[in-house]
Amino acid sequence: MRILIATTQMPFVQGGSEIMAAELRRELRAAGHEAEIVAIPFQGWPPERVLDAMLATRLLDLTQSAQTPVDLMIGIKFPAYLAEHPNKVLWLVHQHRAAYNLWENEHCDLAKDPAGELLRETIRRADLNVIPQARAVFTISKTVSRRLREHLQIDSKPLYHPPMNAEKFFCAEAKDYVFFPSRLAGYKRQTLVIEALAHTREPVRVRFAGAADSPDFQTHLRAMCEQHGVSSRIEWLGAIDDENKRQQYAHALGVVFPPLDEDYGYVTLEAMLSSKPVITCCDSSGPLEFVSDRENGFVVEPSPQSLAAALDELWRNRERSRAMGIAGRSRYDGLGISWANVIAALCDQK
Amino acid sequence: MRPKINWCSPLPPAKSSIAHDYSATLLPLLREHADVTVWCEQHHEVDAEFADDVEFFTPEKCDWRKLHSGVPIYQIGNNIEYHAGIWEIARRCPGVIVLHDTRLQHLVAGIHREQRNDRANYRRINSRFHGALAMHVGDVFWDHGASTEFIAAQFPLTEAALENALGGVVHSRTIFEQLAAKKRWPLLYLPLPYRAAPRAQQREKCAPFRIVTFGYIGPNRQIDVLLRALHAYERREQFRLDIYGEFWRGNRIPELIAELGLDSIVKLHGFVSTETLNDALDNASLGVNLRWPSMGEASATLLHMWSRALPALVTRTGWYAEQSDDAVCFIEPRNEIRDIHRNLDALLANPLAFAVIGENGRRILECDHDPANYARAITDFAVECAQMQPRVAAFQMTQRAAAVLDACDVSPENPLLQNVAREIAALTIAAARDKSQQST
Repeated sequence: MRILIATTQMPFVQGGSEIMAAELRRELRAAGHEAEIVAIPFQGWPPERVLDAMLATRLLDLTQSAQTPVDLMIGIKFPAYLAEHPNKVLWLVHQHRAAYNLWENEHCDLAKDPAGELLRETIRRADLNVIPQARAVFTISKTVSRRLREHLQIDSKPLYHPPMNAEKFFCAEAKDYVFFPSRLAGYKRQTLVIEALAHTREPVRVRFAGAADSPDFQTHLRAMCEQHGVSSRIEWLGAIDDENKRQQYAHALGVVFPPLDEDYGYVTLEAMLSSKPVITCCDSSGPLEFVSDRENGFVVEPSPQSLAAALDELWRNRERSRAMGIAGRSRYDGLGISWANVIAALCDQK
Repeated sequence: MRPKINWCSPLPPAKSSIAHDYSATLLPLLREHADVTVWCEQHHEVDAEFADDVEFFTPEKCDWRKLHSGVPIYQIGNNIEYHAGIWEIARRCPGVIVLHDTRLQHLVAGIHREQRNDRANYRRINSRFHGALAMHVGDVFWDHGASTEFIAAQFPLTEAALENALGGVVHSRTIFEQLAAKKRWPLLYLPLPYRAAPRAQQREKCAPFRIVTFGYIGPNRQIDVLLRALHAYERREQFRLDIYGEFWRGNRIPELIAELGLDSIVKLHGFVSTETLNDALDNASLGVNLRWPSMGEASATLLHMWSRALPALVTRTGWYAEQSDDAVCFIEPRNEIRDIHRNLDALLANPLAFAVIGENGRRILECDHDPANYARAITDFAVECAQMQPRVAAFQMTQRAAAVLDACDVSPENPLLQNVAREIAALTIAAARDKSQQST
């Protein structure tokens, strides 16, 4: 089949969904399809541009290319999935989160905009109108499916996919650090970990890897470390390559990943592939689909004190931590996460 | 669930009938149906009895999240002191617009010329809503070559107030019909609310008969015409004219009174308490409430006169022209002096017939202007309008698309226009599935 993957991209920003789209294209091609990505430049700011992007997307013709029909469109991100196609399947990374699960968050820019309510209601209306027109609606996780059900009463089926180069993750002897790979961004909650370090009784060390969404945020994080007196126990690796990332996972004592309401979270799966326990929070959503408290990690309240207690326990009881990591790997292997399943579901024409 | 309303309005002690007669009356009644927060501009004073549920704002520093967490209901009138800030936030955060005036050049020109010295945007707004001619006439006005009343009559800018509105409320049936014909907004016509006062004891009235006029005496209140009519009236000693309230631009009226030699029968009282004013109305035989031109407003002043069963002279224009001729005494525009004399003659000839006109007005007030009915109706309307956000978005998309297509010189016959319209509808009009869910 000739398949278009319809997504959006914030120019110059590379994140999980960009990797996912590229991986999907690769796997579709490997399965014998012709596949291309159509990425519409989109950002939620300024909010009034959202309407422009929605309409512009609707006016795109993705039904044919070079006078040859496109057999299937796979929509993965808002507003790209609004494009019309007679054979459309959705595999949603997420909806426009600011209009849904992030709306109540104090940092939600859309909610603080004068036209915020207008945009939220219009996005919801468009989603309600367009999403059910797809031949099938899949999501990347139970979390995204739950939100779709909660906010729009639309049913969908979660389809898990493996992280990139899943087969290359490995486990090695643990060293004295906990790893936190993620973009440095407010909702990833590096701040919570910094605050937690100020409460630990053990000399827990944390390595953060990932680029900052904004230079200001990076400055803010470093100032916080100074303020809490934990700078000497933190390393900032910045953006690192995949090989280095796998090394960092492999030698970590464990992984800390406490984002707010994460959609899916490759970090959890990569930690499990590396046989490392994961500390996450009870409001982190995506990771909770994979982490069970005290089996393959810790699920704690999103407070510095709770997080500190988990970090201390991980640090103090190395043997138990190792066992939880092994349990995580075993959990991953039992989930049957594969691209083959994803491609079969998305391309199923029945 | 109980609705939440953000009521954007001046409050007492603001010298505004929207504050005193309208919002102060309605707020307790609105709270029977909804949770209401009043939004006032930062620099306004608010009487203690209202202070608990007031959110202060400036257009630059407004808690938008809080504002659109309920349905904003914006009170729009021409007084720049009390409505400039509300105008600013209403254009940015969609809500229900209550049009207390429909000719809004006083407000818009005041904001752009007096407050901001922003000629470019004033030209843009005139051009956008009334075309190139309005922009050029606006230039003449800007340079003080035309009056606000003149430009307001030609280019009222009513639609500028409603541009991003979820819906509009008007107090004039004529204005309602004009706006409804455009099929652009959900609209509601409601007679201006006014609480009828308990009936005052009938007082014996005899010559000299007292005539009362009151309120904010702007340039369109025709006080100069009334004074000239009295001056030219032979039996003027049979009347006394009491004027209550504040004047637009100070001293012109007192000078005219002196110039016409009317000091013995005309008295200026300034701004007085409601009790004092009511006492004056109860002692009067005739109210005068002229407008030329009208700004399209319904008049709380006339309703106040009716609440005291006082017959009133009104100009046959705008909202006033909609009133029944057995409840008011009409003055024809441009024949004011002749008609004032005719009515004074009639009053002297048969004072009881005039009292009946006042009673008729009072009955209409009790029947059509009940604040409780108004509060219920505007709350229901606001709840309906809260669902209209995608409709506003549809118009915004249409305007953006039109600008792009215009720049590309796309002809009206081009099928692309149909495509754009269809796709805007696909995104913003509730699909059948949505409706069925609502019904279940």
